Amino acid sequence: MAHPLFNRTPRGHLQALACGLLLGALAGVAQAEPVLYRFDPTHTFVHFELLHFGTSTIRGRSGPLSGEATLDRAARQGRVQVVIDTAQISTGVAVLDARLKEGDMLAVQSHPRAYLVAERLEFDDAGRVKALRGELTLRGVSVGLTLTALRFNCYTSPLLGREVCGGDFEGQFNRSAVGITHSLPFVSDTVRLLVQVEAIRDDAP
Amino acid sequence: MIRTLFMLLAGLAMATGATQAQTVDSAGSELTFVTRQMGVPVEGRFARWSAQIALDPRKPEAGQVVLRIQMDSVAFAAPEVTAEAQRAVWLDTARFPQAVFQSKGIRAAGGGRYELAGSLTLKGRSHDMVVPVTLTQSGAKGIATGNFTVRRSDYRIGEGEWTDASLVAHEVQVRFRIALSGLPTS
Repeated sequence: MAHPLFNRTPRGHLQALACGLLLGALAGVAQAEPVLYRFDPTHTFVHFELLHFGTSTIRGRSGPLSGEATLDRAARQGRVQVVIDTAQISTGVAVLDARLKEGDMLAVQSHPRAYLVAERLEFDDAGRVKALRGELTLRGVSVGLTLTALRFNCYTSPLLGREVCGGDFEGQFNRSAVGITHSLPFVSDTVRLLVQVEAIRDDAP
Repeated sequence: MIRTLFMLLAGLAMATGATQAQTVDSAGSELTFVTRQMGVPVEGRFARWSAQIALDPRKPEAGQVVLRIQMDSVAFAAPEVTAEAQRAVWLDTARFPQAVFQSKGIRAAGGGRYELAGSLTLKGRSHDMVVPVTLTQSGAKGIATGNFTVRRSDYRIGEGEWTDASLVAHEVQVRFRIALSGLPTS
């Protein structure tokens, strides 16, 4: 510790300072409160990937996603809920989009919304979200889903003057588990999800 | 003919005792507004504006208020937003350098409150509105405060894709605080 401040501080004072910091940290944990963040609709999308004839990857996108996250980084807890408008799907191929919306696929008429609710969040030592564990509900059927963070960060938006937290997440599920079996096995059962999310702190800091 | 009309009006003003104008103390005055971007309130302000105010609390209906705002003095906390706001799709400050509020009638609402009916001309379009004002007077000095809502869509502020209000709300709340001196004392 070659910090000039510490060099000038008598030993007893340093211990008192350390004690104070420790108490402060404990108090911080005790007083930690969940903070609500609402999704930024310009930076919140899900991309999906399916392998086509074992040869190339079909990609599509849905969004912007709406939803919110509650984070209590001190207590390492949180909750994320996402609403996906299933009719928003786009692969860049109009006939494929129309086919994907039909009853045996995404069934957008009977199930216009899909949901992702994650109530088990993992944090790393720095308080960054490492993984989200929860359930994806698609066509009214729920399957377990884990989204792993490729990155997670919080920053203060200069435009909004608010804290924004988010990241890139990836996960996968089997579409047969929610009853979408069309074109198996030529189009893979595994659906890879790539989620971009940023969420704006709801209350002024 | 016009000259005669002018003489007649001038004579009428003298006969009825035209309301004396007040002086605006710019140091104690401000004109701000709040937009909502993705649900988050984002404040902006106009640094340069002038007001001609002639208000006699004893005879408010004879009063006159004209507010002129230099639109290129718009400022947000983020310089990127300030630059964006001046562009043609938003305020188009190059083509429409000035916004004007001109009162058409002032009505006392009691307790130092007034209702200013008038017309706001912004980005080349005019709409009638009523602005509530509260005047707190102390001797010849006073503070006029108030706020009102402007729908940006009424003035084509935010054209093209921005006419959609999901990212930037149509309602913009304008807030003013005007420090006055030279108010008539009873």
